[in-house]
Amino acid sequence: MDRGNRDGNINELPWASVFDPAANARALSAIQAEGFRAASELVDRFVRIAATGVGGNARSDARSDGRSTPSAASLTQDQRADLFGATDIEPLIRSWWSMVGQFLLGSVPRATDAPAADPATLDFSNSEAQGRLDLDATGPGTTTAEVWLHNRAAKDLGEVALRCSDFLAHDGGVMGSGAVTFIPAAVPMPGRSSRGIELKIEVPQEVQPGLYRGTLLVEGHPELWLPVVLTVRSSVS
Amino acid sequence: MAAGGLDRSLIGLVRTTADRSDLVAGVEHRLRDVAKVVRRSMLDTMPDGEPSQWLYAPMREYPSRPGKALRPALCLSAGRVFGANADDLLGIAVAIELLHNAFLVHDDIADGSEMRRGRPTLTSTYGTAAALNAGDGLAVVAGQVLRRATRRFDRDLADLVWSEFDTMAMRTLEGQATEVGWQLDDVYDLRPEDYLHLIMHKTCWYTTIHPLRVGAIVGSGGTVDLAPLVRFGFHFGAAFQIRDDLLNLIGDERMYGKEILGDLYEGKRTLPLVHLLTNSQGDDLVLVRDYIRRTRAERSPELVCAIRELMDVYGSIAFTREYAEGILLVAEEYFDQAFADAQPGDDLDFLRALVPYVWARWR
Repeated sequence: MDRGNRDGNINELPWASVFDPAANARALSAIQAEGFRAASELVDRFVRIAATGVGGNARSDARSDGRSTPSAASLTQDQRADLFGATDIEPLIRSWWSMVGQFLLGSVPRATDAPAADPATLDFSNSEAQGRLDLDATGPGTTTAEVWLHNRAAKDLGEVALRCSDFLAHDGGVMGSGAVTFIPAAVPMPGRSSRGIELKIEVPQEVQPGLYRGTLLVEGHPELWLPVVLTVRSSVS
Repeated sequence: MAAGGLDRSLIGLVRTTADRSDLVAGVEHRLRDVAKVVRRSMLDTMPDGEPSQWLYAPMREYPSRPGKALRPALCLSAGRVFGANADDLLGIAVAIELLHNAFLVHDDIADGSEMRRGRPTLTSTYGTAAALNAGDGLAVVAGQVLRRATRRFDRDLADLVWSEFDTMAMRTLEGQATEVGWQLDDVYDLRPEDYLHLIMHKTCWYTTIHPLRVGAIVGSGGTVDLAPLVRFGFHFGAAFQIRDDLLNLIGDERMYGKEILGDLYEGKRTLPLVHLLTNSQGDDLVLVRDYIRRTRAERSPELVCAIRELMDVYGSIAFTREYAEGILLVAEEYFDQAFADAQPGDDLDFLRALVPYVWARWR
């Protein structure tokens, strides 16, 4: 025990006062009370704001537009700074999500207790494909979506790779399949396993705004395919 | 101090010296086990190859050194008590620890520290540029590990885990930036509340709150009430940080692993320093303000020792201890709320023992 450390023995620590709420009403020193009060006020602020629907576990309350939820709008500058920091990154992400969501999910990401939109899946055991892949891009840039592969049987399918067709618009516009990459390029599919593969589209500069359709296929499994819909919107709005 | 008549678990745990050493040994045993698994996993995820000498080798250094592994241990236990299996959690726990290591590398650069975990810092061995790259590399690998770990979840859960991770990283940076600002702007009119606000961002979010929250989210599939976890995490994390700050002032270097009084050389706004700034008077106040204004290189050992002695004269250390005790006051209450629906067992016992552990290690 060094200088300044007045409690030489752990048994002299005021455990009773620290850990028994009934006892500490009497035993609490002025300084302990100050620490207790300051800590409680600070953490209350975080918890309260989170509970009103902007952040944390109550995110599902902020549904339609992150920037204009009543609870977010009524925050003081300090509260906003506590929650989002100077960057305000969370509302940004939320508003971005709500924009993407109109095309992808119909809403911003929800808490996991909300039912999910059916994800695009390829089921090898019963050769069944479900859902479709919807991607959205504003002007040139990158957009991604995920497809889930399920192998419910015991048989090892080895490495599985996906393939994507060119994309065609109603007016004859074409976006070549060269713009598509899969991450990872191939996945091992042992028995009773599921894997997610990300489909990434690099929308080239010259592609006109519009609705493009393509087909996703599985190498070596001709019976499995999924529609892919890419919405390219004008970057000038 | 009598604990008579109280049968609350914490008091029971620390009532006797024998119990106390059991408690400390139990927590340390668990932390050592977790540290071993996490260290191996961290090193496994590290890329190999060139440039080895100036990137991959330095990147491996901090993860290979013995660390406390508190963050992954919190994440793993919080996840399991809410029903997750270890496979769902390990990647997340490893990602947290890798990001922690990345922060440490950059911290040591920013602070000009010389020692980390008992050995020279990356920046003192390899120089600033290589250390910066190694820190960046560790942060990127943390993201890779988390991406792999969340691929096994459904999309909403994966999104939630990622948004927790991003929030945690931004909170930490906000805290770091606030602290840098205090030093660059020679801020000295600080109150203890300002200090708490700082460590809520800088330390608590990524040390305790995030690991507990993300574990509980994965374990419960996103259904658990996170508010009591924030409360418990903050109170525990603040105590943990204040203890660390005090150890820097009163501990011994071999046990602590960093330079003793290093915070004072840095001019870091710790709670004892905040107290001293508000309470010192006359010539003492002049000395403390002069000390604050100087750069690290201009703070002589004599000056640092004089400031350290003033902390005794003005009772800054005693104040800090008492203030922290007040913060811990309700930790047990919050623990009971936060883990009301948790499964009993070793993991819950470990979590429950952590608060008394922080205080029992105070020597």
